[in-house]
Amino acid sequence: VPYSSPELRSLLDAAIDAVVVLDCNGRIEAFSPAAQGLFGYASDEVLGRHFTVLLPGDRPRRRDARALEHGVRRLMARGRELEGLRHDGTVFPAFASVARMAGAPPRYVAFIRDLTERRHSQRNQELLERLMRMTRLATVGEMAAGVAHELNQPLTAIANYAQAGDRLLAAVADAPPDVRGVLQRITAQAVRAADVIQRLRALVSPPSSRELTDVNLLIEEVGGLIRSDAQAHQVSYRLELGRDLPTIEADRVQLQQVLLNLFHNAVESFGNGAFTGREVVVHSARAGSELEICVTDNGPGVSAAMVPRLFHPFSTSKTGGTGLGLAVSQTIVRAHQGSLTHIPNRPTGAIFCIRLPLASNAP
Amino acid sequence: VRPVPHILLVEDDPAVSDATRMLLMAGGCRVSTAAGAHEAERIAAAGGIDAVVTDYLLEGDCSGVQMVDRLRHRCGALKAIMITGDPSAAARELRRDQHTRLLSKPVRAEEFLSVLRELLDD
Repeated sequence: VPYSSPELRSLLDAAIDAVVVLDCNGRIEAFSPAAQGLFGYASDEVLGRHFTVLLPGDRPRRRDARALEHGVRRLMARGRELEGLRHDGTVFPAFASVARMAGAPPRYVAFIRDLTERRHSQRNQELLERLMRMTRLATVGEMAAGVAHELNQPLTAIANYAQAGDRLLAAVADAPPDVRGVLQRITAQAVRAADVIQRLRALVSPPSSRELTDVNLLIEEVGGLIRSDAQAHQVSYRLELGRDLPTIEADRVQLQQVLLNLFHNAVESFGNGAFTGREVVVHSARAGSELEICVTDNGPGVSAAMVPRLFHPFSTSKTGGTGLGLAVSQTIVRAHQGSLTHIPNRPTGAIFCIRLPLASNAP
Repeated sequence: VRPVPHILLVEDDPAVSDATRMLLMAGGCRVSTAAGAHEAERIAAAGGIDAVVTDYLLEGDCSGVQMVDRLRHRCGALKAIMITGDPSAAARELRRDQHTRLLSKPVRAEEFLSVLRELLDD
């Protein structure tokens, strides 16, 4: 029996990558425990079979030694990414490299690494970057809108005081003539500054693209990000997704941004406090003519002092918080003709509820 | 002789409220001020208000439009001027009606007072 020497056996057993040895015709001669785990075959189910049983695709492959030699050369040295086929029919991304073993006729040893996890984290990373980009844009927009409002108020006061002064002077017979001119120029400059702010506001309102959206898919797409956020804060979480939900018209990425923001607020709210059973629940359901996505936590909840200003720009209870997260979220949800509300949870915690109208053609 | 109109000014920013009050008084109006919807409802309930001038965005979850709707529900027909820093957003919510006008912030005194006169004379 080949590969029965204890040295070789322990080499195969210890390898983390799947190790498959082929004879010169491509038949499987050895199949390491890692290979058995990866492909889902017991060793004796594949020994003697052609290695193409481990590859997807049903196009005929040349099975002669020369084709094998050619294929091996492509995989030698650096290896490359390809797809593997499991016993149960599922296909997975893999990285494979092959070496020719000494001796004649030649034998080949293939090392195969599962890339499924890496692909997932790559996809999550891409999603995260896209969301961060959106968040930065929306945050800048919210900040500009907030600053615009805060500055427009004193400018309005200046303009109105100056205009009131001008009118009061108009009624005075021996008023110094220059003073009315000065007041009118103050008014004109305040109005000019307000116009600049108005243009700024128009400039930063975020563009939005609407498409028919399955809310549960939208949630599941950010499932990986939710999981890692929860793990990082040692909080457990559950998804309670309603079944057969109608679609909504939405900007998917914007709503994912809102959801992640609410989720992140929830997991952060626990802080270092000793809350038993720290848990966040993301729930989706139909509520009449609307769809509801709620994020519920059993943390300390929102303080009574914070409640009236919860959605205002620049108001925050977190050290280092910008106070823009909930303001941005509410702006996005309102732009979808929806509402974002806070409800205290019992006995403790907070519930943030997004309600969105169903798509017009939804049943 | 035209009677002095009594204006209810609803504005939560103290400086804007004070400056607008002075502008209205310089324009020949009597002015009562309220900082929010509740205070406004209390004053309007006492009667004698000819028109309400309100910021479109009020503190809390009540917009100027909602507050005016409530005032009209309680006190009958009431003329109103909404003043907003973001006219495009406000215009979407504002239903067309002959007793309401929308002006952008800051207002031009001439325009403000003439719109108010027209509304009152209507």
